[in-house]
Amino acid sequence: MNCKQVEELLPLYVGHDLEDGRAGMITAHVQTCTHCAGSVEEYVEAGQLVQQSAAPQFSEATYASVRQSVLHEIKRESETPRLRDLLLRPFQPRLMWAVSTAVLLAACALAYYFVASRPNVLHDQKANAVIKLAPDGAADGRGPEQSSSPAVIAGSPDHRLNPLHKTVKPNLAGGLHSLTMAKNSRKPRLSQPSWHSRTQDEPAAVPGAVPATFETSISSRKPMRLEIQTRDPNIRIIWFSQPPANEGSPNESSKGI
Amino acid sequence: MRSPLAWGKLNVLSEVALNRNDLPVSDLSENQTWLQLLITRAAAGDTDAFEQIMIHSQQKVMTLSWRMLGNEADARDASQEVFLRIYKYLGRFKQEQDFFAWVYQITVNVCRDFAKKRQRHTTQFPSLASMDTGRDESAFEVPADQQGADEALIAAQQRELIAGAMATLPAKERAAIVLRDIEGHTTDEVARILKSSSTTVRSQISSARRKIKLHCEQYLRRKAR
Repeated sequence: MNCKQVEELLPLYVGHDLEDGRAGMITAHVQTCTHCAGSVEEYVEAGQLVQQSAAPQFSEATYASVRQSVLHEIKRESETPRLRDLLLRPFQPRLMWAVSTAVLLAACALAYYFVASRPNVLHDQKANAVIKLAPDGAADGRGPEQSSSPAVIAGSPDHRLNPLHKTVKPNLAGGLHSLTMAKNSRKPRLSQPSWHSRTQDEPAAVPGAVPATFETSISSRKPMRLEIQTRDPNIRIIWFSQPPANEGSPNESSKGI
Repeated sequence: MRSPLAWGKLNVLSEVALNRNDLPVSDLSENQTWLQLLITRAAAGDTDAFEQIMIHSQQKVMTLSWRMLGNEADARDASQEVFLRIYKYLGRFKQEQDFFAWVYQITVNVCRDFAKKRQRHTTQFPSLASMDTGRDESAFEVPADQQGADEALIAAQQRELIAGAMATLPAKERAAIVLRDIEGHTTDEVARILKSSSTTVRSQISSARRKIKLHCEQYLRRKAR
Protein backbone atom coordinates (compact mmCIF):
# COMPACT_ATOMS: atom_id res chain seq x y z
CA MET A 1 0.00 0.00 0.00
CA ASN A 2 1.23 3.46 -0.75
CA CYS A 3 0.82 6.55 1.45
CA LYS A 4 -2.23 7.81 -0.41
CA GLN A 5 -4.12 4.57 0.09
CA VAL A 6 -3.10 4.44 3.73
CA GLU A 7 -4.13 8.04 4.30
CA GLU A 8 -7.62 7.20 3.08
CA LEU A 9 -7.97 4.41 5.59
CA LEU A 10 -6.28 6.04 8.61
CA PRO A 11 -9.49 7.49 10.14
CA LEU A 12 -10.93 4.01 10.34
CA TYR A 13 -7.63 2.46 11.34
CA VAL A 14 -7.23 4.64 14.43
CA GLY A 15 -10.75 3.77 15.54
CA HIS A 16 -10.19 0.02 15.02
CA ASP A 17 -12.95 0.00 12.44
CA LEU A 18 -10.98 -1.92 9.82
CA GLU A 19 -10.89 -5.64 9.34
CA ASP A 20 -7.75 -7.41 10.49
CA GLY A 21 -6.21 -7.90 7.04
CA ARG A 22 -6.23 -4.24 6.09
CA ALA A 23 -5.32 -3.12 9.59
CA GLY A 24 -2.25 -5.36 9.48
CA MET A 25 -1.16 -3.91 6.15
CA ILE A 26 -1.51 -0.36 7.48
CA THR A 27 0.39 -1.24 10.62
CA ALA A 28 3.21 -2.57 8.50
CA HIS A 29 3.21 0.59 6.40
CA VAL A 30 3.11 2.96 9.37
CA GLN A 31 6.12 1.24 10.93
CA THR A 32 8.17 2.16 7.89
CA CYS A 33 6.63 5.54 6.95
CA THR A 34 7.23 8.47 9.31
CA HIS A 35 4.74 10.73 7.53
CA CYS A 36 1.90 8.30 7.93
CA ALA A 37 3.00 7.58 11.51
CA GLY A 38 2.69 11.31 12.25
CA SER A 39 -0.80 11.33 10.77
CA VAL A 40 -1.75 8.40 12.95
CA GLU A 41 -0.61 10.31 16.05
CA GLU A 42 -2.65 13.34 15.06
CA TYR A 43 -5.75 11.23 14.56
CA VAL A 44 -5.23 9.55 17.90
CA GLU A 45 -4.85 12.87 19.73
CA ALA A 46 -7.95 14.31 18.08
CA GLY A 47 -9.85 11.19 18.98
CA GLN A 48 -8.73 11.43 22.58
CA LEU A 49 -9.88 15.03 22.71
CA VAL A 50 -13.26 14.02 21.41
CA GLN A 51 -13.56 11.21 23.91
CA GLN A 52 -12.47 13.45 26.76
CA SER A 53 -14.90 16.17 25.87
CA ALA A 54 -17.39 15.12 28.46
CA ALA A 55 -20.76 16.76 28.42
CA PRO A 56 -21.51 19.05 31.34
CA GLN A 57 -22.87 17.49 34.48
CA PHE A 58 -26.44 18.67 34.66
CA SER A 59 -27.80 19.36 38.08
CA GLU A 60 -30.53 17.28 39.65
CA ALA A 61 -32.74 20.37 39.50
CA THR A 62 -32.40 20.40 35.72
CA TYR A 63 -33.34 16.75 35.48
CA ALA A 64 -36.23 17.25 37.88
CA SER A 65 -37.59 20.18 35.88
CA VAL A 66 -37.48 18.10 32.71
CA ARG A 67 -39.30 15.24 34.41
CA GLN A 68 -41.93 17.52 35.87
CA SER A 69 -42.52 19.17 32.52
CA VAL A 70 -42.92 15.80 30.85
CA LEU A 71 -45.29 14.45 33.49
CA HIS A 72 -47.30 17.66 33.41
CA GLU A 73 -47.61 17.42 29.65
CA ILE A 74 -48.65 13.76 29.85
CA LYS A 75 -51.29 14.60 32.43
CA ARG A 76 -52.57 17.49 30.36
CA GLU A 77 -52.82 15.35 27.24
CA SER A 78 -54.57 12.55 29.07
CA GLU A 79 -57.17 14.97 30.42
CA THR A 80 -57.78 16.63 27.10
CA PRO A 81 -60.13 14.51 25.02
CA ARG A 82 -58.98 13.85 21.52
CA LEU A 83 -60.97 15.06 18.55
CA ARG A 84 -61.59 11.51 17.45
CA ASP A 85 -63.01 10.63 20.84
CA LEU A 86 -65.21 13.71 20.80
CA LEU A 87 -66.58 12.77 17.41
CA LEU A 88 -67.20 9.16 18.32
CA ARG A 89 -68.53 9.77 21.81
CA PRO A 90 -72.21 10.20 20.86
CA PHE A 91 -72.11 6.99 18.86
CA GLN A 92 -69.84 4.92 20.98
CA PRO A 93 -72.40 3.22 23.31
CA ARG A 94 -74.88 2.64 20.51
CA LEU A 95 -72.47 2.12 17.68
CA MET A 96 -73.19 -1.57 17.34
CA TRP A 97 -76.92 -0.98 17.51
CA ALA A 98 -76.68 1.71 14.88
CA VAL A 99 -74.66 -0.50 12.58
CA SER A 100 -77.06 -3.43 13.08
CA THR A 101 -80.09 -1.25 12.36
CA ALA A 102 -78.50 0.18 9.26
CA VAL A 103 -77.70 -3.29 7.96
CA LEU A 104 -81.25 -4.48 8.71
CA LEU A 105 -82.82 -1.50 6.95
CA ALA A 106 -80.59 -2.00 3.96
CA ALA A 107 -81.58 -5.66 3.76
CA CYS A 108 -85.27 -4.77 3.99
CA ALA A 109 -84.98 -2.14 1.29
CA LEU A 110 -83.16 -4.58 -0.94
CA ALA A 111 -85.77 -7.28 -0.41
CA TYR A 112 -88.62 -4.85 -1.10
CA TYR A 113 -86.93 -3.71 -4.26
CA PHE A 114 -86.61 -7.22 -5.59
CA VAL A 115 -90.17 -8.18 -4.67
CA ALA A 116 -91.66 -5.01 -6.13
CA SER A 117 -89.73 -5.21 -9.34
CA ARG A 118 -90.44 -8.87 -9.94
CA PRO A 119 -92.97 -9.39 -12.79
CA ASN A 120 -96.26 -10.25 -11.04
CA VAL A 121 -97.99 -11.26 -14.21
CA LEU A 122 -97.05 -14.86 -13.91
CA HIS A 123 -99.88 -15.70 -11.62
CA ASP A 124 -102.22 -13.28 -13.36
CA GLN A 125 -101.41 -14.52 -16.80
CA LYS A 126 -104.26 -16.95 -16.91
CA ALA A 127 -106.75 -14.92 -14.92
CA ASN A 128 -106.25 -11.49 -16.32
CA ALA A 129 -105.85 -11.66 -19.97
CA VAL A 130 -106.81 -8.37 -21.48
CA ILE A 131 -108.25 -8.21 -24.84
CA LYS A 132 -108.10 -5.04 -26.75
CA LEU A 133 -110.04 -4.53 -29.79
CA ALA A 134 -109.08 -1.45 -31.66
CA PRO A 135 -110.41 -1.23 -35.16
CA ASP A 136 -108.76 1.31 -37.26
CA GLY A 137 -110.95 4.15 -38.39
CA ALA A 138 -112.47 4.55 -34.98
CA ALA A 139 -110.84 7.84 -34.54
CA ASP A 140 -111.49 9.05 -38.04
CA GLY A 141 -115.11 7.95 -38.11
CA ARG A 142 -114.86 5.02 -40.46
CA GLY A 143 -117.02 2.08 -39.82
CA PRO A 144 -115.85 -1.33 -38.84
CA GLU A 145 -116.38 -2.55 -42.30
CA GLN A 146 -114.03 0.11 -43.48
CA SER A 147 -111.52 -0.68 -40.95
CA SER A 148 -108.39 -2.10 -42.32
CA SER A 149 -107.03 -3.03 -38.98
CA PRO A 150 -108.25 -6.12 -37.29
CA ALA A 151 -109.01 -6.40 -33.62
CA VAL A 152 -106.12 -6.58 -31.31
CA ILE A 153 -106.15 -9.08 -28.54
CA ALA A 154 -103.62 -8.37 -25.93
CA GLY A 155 -102.48 -10.85 -23.38
CA SER A 156 -99.98 -10.20 -20.83
CA PRO A 157 -96.71 -11.69 -20.02
CA ASP A 158 -94.80 -8.51 -19.96
CA HIS A 159 -96.47 -5.27 -20.76
CA ARG A 160 -93.42 -3.17 -20.21
CA LEU A 161 -91.77 -4.41 -23.32
CA ASN A 162 -94.68 -3.77 -25.60
CA PRO A 163 -95.05 -0.46 -27.36
CA LEU A 164 -98.15 -1.46 -29.29
CA HIS A 165 -100.40 -0.92 -26.32
CA LYS A 166 -99.81 2.79 -26.50
CA THR A 167 -100.50 2.96 -30.16
CA VAL A 168 -103.97 1.55 -29.60
CA LYS A 169 -104.83 3.75 -26.69
CA PRO A 170 -105.66 6.94 -28.66
CA ASN A 171 -108.53 5.06 -30.28
CA LEU A 172 -110.41 5.26 -27.01
CA ALA A 173 -111.00 8.93 -27.66
CA GLY A 174 -113.68 10.38 -29.92
CA GLY A 175 -116.79 9.12 -28.18
CA LEU A 176 -116.10 5.55 -28.77
CA HIS A 177 -117.85 2.87 -26.89
CA SER A 178 -115.89 0.49 -24.93
CA LEU A 179 -116.73 -3.10 -24.74
CA THR A 180 -115.76 -4.75 -21.61
CA MET A 181 -115.51 -8.33 -20.81
CA ALA A 182 -114.99 -8.36 -17.12
CA LYS A 183 -114.32 -11.06 -14.71
CA ASN A 184 -115.40 -10.66 -11.11
CA SER A 185 -116.09 -6.97 -11.62
CA ARG A 186 -112.49 -6.30 -12.33
CA LYS A 187 -111.69 -3.16 -14.16
CA PRO A 188 -110.07 -3.43 -17.49
CA ARG A 189 -106.35 -3.45 -17.13
CA LEU A 190 -104.83 -1.37 -19.77
CA SER A 191 -101.42 -1.86 -18.42
CA GLN A 192 -101.36 -5.58 -18.55
CA PRO A 193 -100.91 -6.71 -22.09
CA SER A 194 -97.53 -7.38 -23.36
CA TRP A 195 -97.94 -9.65 -26.26
CA HIS A 196 -100.25 -9.01 -29.10
CA SER A 197 -101.75 -11.22 -31.65
CA ARG A 198 -103.88 -9.98 -34.42
CA THR A 199 -107.14 -11.78 -34.96
CA GLN A 200 -110.70 -11.18 -36.11
CA ASP A 201 -112.71 -12.93 -33.48
CA GLU A 202 -116.24 -12.40 -32.20
CA PRO A 203 -116.19 -8.63 -31.67
CA ALA A 204 -115.77 -8.18 -35.36
CA ALA A 205 -118.62 -10.58 -35.96
CA VAL A 206 -121.13 -8.57 -33.94
CA PRO A 207 -123.50 -7.01 -36.40
CA GLY A 208 -124.04 -3.30 -36.09
CA ALA A 209 -121.34 -2.83 -33.59
CA VAL A 210 -119.89 0.59 -33.65
CA PRO A 211 -116.25 1.09 -34.32
CA ALA A 212 -115.02 0.47 -30.93
CA THR A 213 -112.17 -0.38 -28.78
CA PHE A 214 -113.00 -2.78 -26.09
CA GLU A 215 -111.01 -4.27 -23.37
CA THR A 216 -111.85 -7.26 -21.36
CA SER A 217 -110.45 -9.68 -18.91
CA ILE A 218 -110.85 -13.32 -19.46
CA SER A 219 -111.43 -15.65 -16.63
CA SER A 220 -110.57 -19.19 -17.20
CA ARG A 221 -112.89 -20.59 -14.60
CA LYS A 222 -115.84 -18.32 -13.93
CA PRO A 223 -118.55 -17.14 -16.31
CA MET A 224 -117.66 -14.10 -18.30
CA ARG A 225 -119.91 -11.23 -19.21
CA LEU A 226 -119.42 -9.33 -22.42
CA GLU A 227 -121.33 -6.15 -23.08
CA ILE A 228 -121.40 -4.46 -26.41
CA GLN A 229 -122.94 -1.04 -26.66
CA THR A 230 -124.24 -0.32 -30.10
CA ARG A 231 -124.59 3.08 -31.67
CA ASP A 232 -128.17 3.07 -30.56
CA PRO A 233 -128.05 3.72 -26.84
CA ASN A 234 -131.12 1.58 -26.31
CA ILE A 235 -129.48 -1.51 -27.67
CA ARG A 236 -126.78 -3.24 -25.78
CA ILE A 237 -125.61 -6.71 -26.47
CA ILE A 238 -124.61 -8.72 -23.49
CA TRP A 239 -122.85 -12.05 -23.76
CA PHE A 240 -122.41 -14.54 -21.04
CA SER A 241 -119.76 -17.10 -21.53
CA GLN A 242 -118.74 -20.22 -19.67
CA PRO A 243 -115.10 -20.64 -18.91
CA PRO A 244 -113.43 -22.08 -21.93
CA ALA A 245 -112.02 -25.52 -21.74
CA ASN A 246 -109.22 -24.29 -23.85
CA GLU A 247 -107.90 -20.95 -22.69
CA GLY A 248 -107.10 -19.78 -26.13
CA SER A 249 -110.73 -19.97 -27.38
CA PRO A 250 -113.28 -18.05 -25.28
CA ASN A 251 -116.04 -18.56 -27.78
CA GLU A 252 -116.92 -22.02 -26.78
CA SER A 253 -120.10 -22.47 -24.85
CA SER A 254 -120.91 -18.81 -25.02
CA LYS A 255 -124.18 -17.34 -25.91
CA GLY A 256 -125.47 -13.86 -26.52
CA ILE A 257 -128.55 -12.00 -25.43
CA MET B 1 -54.32 -6.28 38.04
CA ARG B 2 -51.06 -5.33 39.64
CA SER B 3 -49.68 -8.01 41.86
CA PRO B 4 -48.74 -6.72 45.32
CA LEU B 5 -45.52 -8.73 45.23
CA ALA B 6 -44.42 -7.13 41.99
CA TRP B 7 -45.36 -3.73 43.26
CA GLY B 8 -43.35 -4.25 46.43
CA LYS B 9 -40.28 -5.21 44.43
CA LEU B 10 -40.87 -2.33 42.09
CA ASN B 11 -41.09 0.14 44.94
CA VAL B 12 -37.87 -1.11 46.51
CA LEU B 13 -36.05 -0.92 43.21
CA SER B 14 -37.57 2.47 42.51
CA GLU B 15 -36.16 3.84 45.73
CA VAL B 16 -32.76 2.56 44.69
CA ALA B 17 -33.14 4.19 41.31
CA LEU B 18 -34.17 7.45 42.90
CA ASN B 19 -30.90 7.61 44.77
CA ARG B 20 -28.67 6.85 41.79
CA ASN B 21 -29.06 6.89 38.08
CA ASP B 22 -26.92 3.88 37.24
CA LEU B 23 -28.00 0.55 38.62
CA PRO B 24 -25.36 -1.98 39.65
CA VAL B 25 -23.85 -3.78 36.69
CA SER B 26 -23.50 -7.06 38.58
CA ASP B 27 -27.21 -7.54 38.63
CA LEU B 28 -27.80 -7.05 34.95
CA SER B 29 -30.54 -9.60 34.41
CA GLU B 30 -32.45 -8.34 37.41
CA ASN B 31 -32.14 -4.81 36.10
CA GLN B 32 -33.45 -5.87 32.72
CA THR B 33 -36.40 -7.58 34.32
CA TRP B 34 -37.01 -4.51 36.40
CA LEU B 35 -36.79 -2.30 33.34
CA GLN B 36 -39.16 -4.52 31.39
CA LEU B 37 -41.60 -4.39 34.26
CA LEU B 38 -41.40 -0.62 34.27
CA ILE B 39 -41.87 -0.47 30.53
CA THR B 40 -44.92 -2.72 30.69
CA ARG B 41 -46.49 -0.63 33.41
CA ALA B 42 -45.64 2.65 31.73
CA ALA B 43 -47.08 1.43 28.45
CA ALA B 44 -50.30 0.72 30.33
CA GLY B 45 -50.40 4.35 31.46
CA ASP B 46 -48.62 4.17 34.80
CA THR B 47 -46.89 7.55 35.09
CA ASP B 48 -45.00 6.52 38.23
CA ALA B 49 -43.34 3.73 36.30
CA PHE B 50 -42.60 6.11 33.48
CA GLU B 51 -40.98 8.54 35.87
CA GLN B 52 -38.66 5.74 36.98
CA ILE B 53 -37.78 5.12 33.34
CA MET B 54 -37.01 8.81 32.92
CA ILE B 55 -34.79 8.79 35.99
CA HIS B 56 -32.97 5.79 34.61
CA SER B 57 -32.36 7.29 31.18
CA GLN B 58 -32.32 11.05 31.70
CA GLN B 59 -28.55 11.39 31.83
CA LYS B 60 -28.07 9.53 28.54
CA VAL B 61 -30.79 11.53 26.82
CA MET B 62 -29.66 14.91 28.10
CA THR B 63 -26.01 14.28 27.32
CA LEU B 64 -26.67 13.07 23.81
CA SER B 65 -29.02 15.98 23.21
CA TRP B 66 -26.42 18.42 24.43
CA ARG B 67 -23.79 16.86 22.18
CA MET B 68 -26.11 16.98 19.22
CA LEU B 69 -27.48 20.46 19.80
CA GLY B 70 -24.65 22.17 21.62
CA ASN B 71 -26.42 24.06 24.39
CA GLU B 72 -28.31 23.25 27.53
CA ALA B 73 -31.54 25.05 26.74
CA ASP B 74 -32.02 23.15 23.50
CA ALA B 75 -30.88 19.94 25.15
CA ARG B 76 -33.51 20.39 27.85
CA ASP B 77 -36.29 21.06 25.35
CA ALA B 78 -35.18 18.15 23.19
CA SER B 79 -35.09 15.85 26.19
CA GLN B 80 -38.65 16.74 27.08
CA GLU B 81 -39.73 15.95 23.57
CA VAL B 82 -37.77 12.70 23.65
CA PHE B 83 -39.51 11.54 26.81
CA LEU B 84 -42.91 12.52 25.48
CA ARG B 85 -42.25 10.48 22.35
CA ILE B 86 -41.03 7.57 24.42
CA TYR B 87 -44.23 7.66 26.45
CA LYS B 88 -46.34 7.95 23.34
CA TYR B 89 -44.71 5.07 21.49
CA LEU B 90 -43.88 2.85 24.43
CA GLY B 91 -46.64 0.50 23.37
CA ARG B 92 -44.78 -0.20 20.14
CA PHE B 93 -41.54 -1.07 21.90
CA LYS B 94 -40.76 -4.77 21.72
CA GLN B 95 -39.28 -6.39 24.75
CA GLU B 96 -36.59 -8.15 22.74
CA GLN B 97 -35.27 -4.77 21.55
CA ASP B 98 -32.47 -2.92 23.30
CA PHE B 99 -34.34 -0.23 25.17
CA PHE B 100 -31.51 2.29 25.28
CA ALA B 101 -30.72 1.84 21.60
CA TRP B 102 -34.37 2.66 21.00
CA VAL B 103 -34.07 5.70 23.27
CA TYR B 104 -30.94 6.84 21.43
CA GLN B 105 -32.75 6.44 18.13
CA ILE B 106 -35.58 8.68 19.30
CA THR B 107 -33.12 11.18 20.73
CA VAL B 108 -31.19 11.45 17.49
CA ASN B 109 -34.42 11.91 15.53
CA VAL B 110 -35.70 14.57 17.90
CA CYS B 111 -32.41 16.44 17.79
CA ARG B 112 -32.45 16.37 14.00
CA ASP B 113 -36.00 17.73 14.04
CA PHE B 114 -34.94 20.44 16.46
CA ALA B 115 -32.06 21.42 14.26
CA LYS B 116 -34.30 21.62 11.21
CA LYS B 117 -37.09 23.43 13.02
CA ARG B 118 -34.93 26.16 14.34
CA GLN B 119 -33.19 26.64 11.01
CA ARG B 120 -29.77 26.53 12.53
CA HIS B 121 -27.21 25.70 9.96
CA THR B 122 -24.42 25.91 12.49
CA THR B 123 -25.13 24.47 15.88
CA GLN B 124 -24.51 26.72 18.82
CA PHE B 125 -21.92 25.07 20.96
CA PRO B 126 -20.77 26.66 24.24
CA SER B 127 -17.84 28.95 23.79
CA LEU B 128 -15.38 30.64 26.07
CA ALA B 129 -17.37 33.83 25.67
CA SER B 130 -20.44 32.16 27.08
CA MET B 131 -18.35 30.87 29.97
CA ASP B 132 -17.07 34.36 30.73
CA THR B 133 -20.53 35.83 30.81
CA GLY B 134 -21.73 32.97 32.93
CA ARG B 135 -24.54 31.96 30.58
CA ASP B 136 -23.82 28.26 30.75
CA GLU B 137 -22.67 27.85 34.31
CA SER B 138 -23.65 24.23 34.57
CA ALA B 139 -21.36 23.45 31.67
CA PHE B 140 -18.28 25.22 32.87
CA GLU B 141 -17.82 25.72 36.57
CA VAL B 142 -14.52 27.47 37.28
CA PRO B 143 -12.87 26.43 40.58
CA ALA B 144 -11.69 29.13 42.95
CA ASP B 145 -8.02 28.03 43.40
CA GLN B 146 -5.34 28.84 40.78
CA GLN B 147 -4.37 25.29 39.83
CA GLY B 148 -7.91 24.26 39.47
CA ALA B 149 -8.58 27.38 37.44
CA ASP B 150 -5.75 26.53 35.03
CA GLU B 151 -7.02 23.01 34.58
CA ALA B 152 -10.51 24.28 34.05
CA LEU B 153 -9.24 26.73 31.46
CA ILE B 154 -7.41 23.99 29.56
CA ALA B 155 -10.45 21.80 29.73
CA ALA B 156 -12.59 24.65 28.50
CA GLN B 157 -10.22 25.24 25.59
CA GLN B 158 -10.33 21.59 24.65
CA ARG B 159 -14.09 21.66 24.92
CA GLU B 160 -14.21 24.70 22.71
CA LEU B 161 -11.92 23.01 20.23
CA ILE B 162 -14.07 19.92 20.01
CA ALA B 163 -17.27 21.94 20.04
CA GLY B 164 -16.05 23.95 17.11
CA ALA B 165 -15.03 20.81 15.30
CA MET B 166 -18.39 19.20 15.95
CA ALA B 167 -20.14 22.31 14.71
CA THR B 168 -18.52 21.84 11.33
CA LEU B 169 -20.03 18.40 10.92
CA PRO B 170 -23.32 17.64 9.21
CA ALA B 171 -26.01 16.27 11.50
CA LYS B 172 -25.65 12.68 10.36
CA GLU B 173 -21.87 12.64 10.74
CA ARG B 174 -22.20 14.30 14.13
CA ALA B 175 -24.68 11.70 15.29
CA ALA B 176 -22.45 8.90 14.03
CA ILE B 177 -19.28 10.21 15.66
CA VAL B 178 -21.02 10.98 18.96
CA LEU B 179 -22.51 7.52 19.16
CA ARG B 180 -19.31 5.78 18.04
CA ASP B 181 -16.49 7.72 19.69
CA ILE B 182 -18.16 9.35 22.68
CA GLU B 183 -20.96 6.99 23.62
CA GLY B 184 -18.80 4.00 22.67
CA HIS B 185 -21.23 2.04 20.53
CA THR B 186 -19.95 -0.33 17.87
CA THR B 187 -20.36 0.52 14.21
CA ASP B 188 -23.18 -1.98 13.83
CA GLU B 189 -25.01 -0.57 16.83
CA VAL B 190 -24.65 2.94 15.45
CA ALA B 191 -26.01 1.72 12.14
CA ARG B 192 -28.99 0.20 13.92
CA ILE B 193 -29.65 3.37 15.91
CA LEU B 194 -29.38 5.59 12.87
CA LYS B 195 -31.32 3.12 10.72
CA SER B 196 -28.49 3.02 8.26
CA SER B 197 -26.00 0.51 6.91
CA SER B 198 -22.65 -0.24 8.52
CA THR B 199 -20.87 0.86 5.36
CA THR B 200 -22.58 4.23 5.42
CA VAL B 201 -21.84 4.69 9.09
CA ARG B 202 -18.21 3.76 8.55
CA SER B 203 -17.99 6.33 5.79
CA GLN B 204 -19.62 8.98 7.97
CA ILE B 205 -17.29 8.20 10.86
CA SER B 206 -14.23 8.33 8.61
CA SER B 207 -15.28 11.68 7.19
CA ALA B 208 -16.04 13.08 10.64
CA ARG B 209 -12.69 12.02 12.07
CA ARG B 210 -10.87 13.57 9.16
CA LYS B 211 -12.74 16.87 9.59
CA ILE B 212 -12.14 16.93 13.35
CA LYS B 213 -8.42 16.33 12.86
CA LEU B 214 -8.30 19.08 10.27
CA HIS B 215 -10.12 21.47 12.57
CA CYS B 216 -7.76 20.67 15.43
CA GLU B 217 -4.74 21.32 13.22
CA GLN B 218 -6.11 24.67 12.12
CA TYR B 219 -6.99 25.59 15.71
CA LEU B 220 -3.53 24.76 17.00
CA ARG B 221 -1.96 26.63 14.10
CA ARG B 222 -3.97 29.73 14.96
CA LYS B 223 -3.01 29.41 18.63
CA ALA B 224 0.66 29.05 17.73
CA ARG B 225 0.66 32.38 15.87
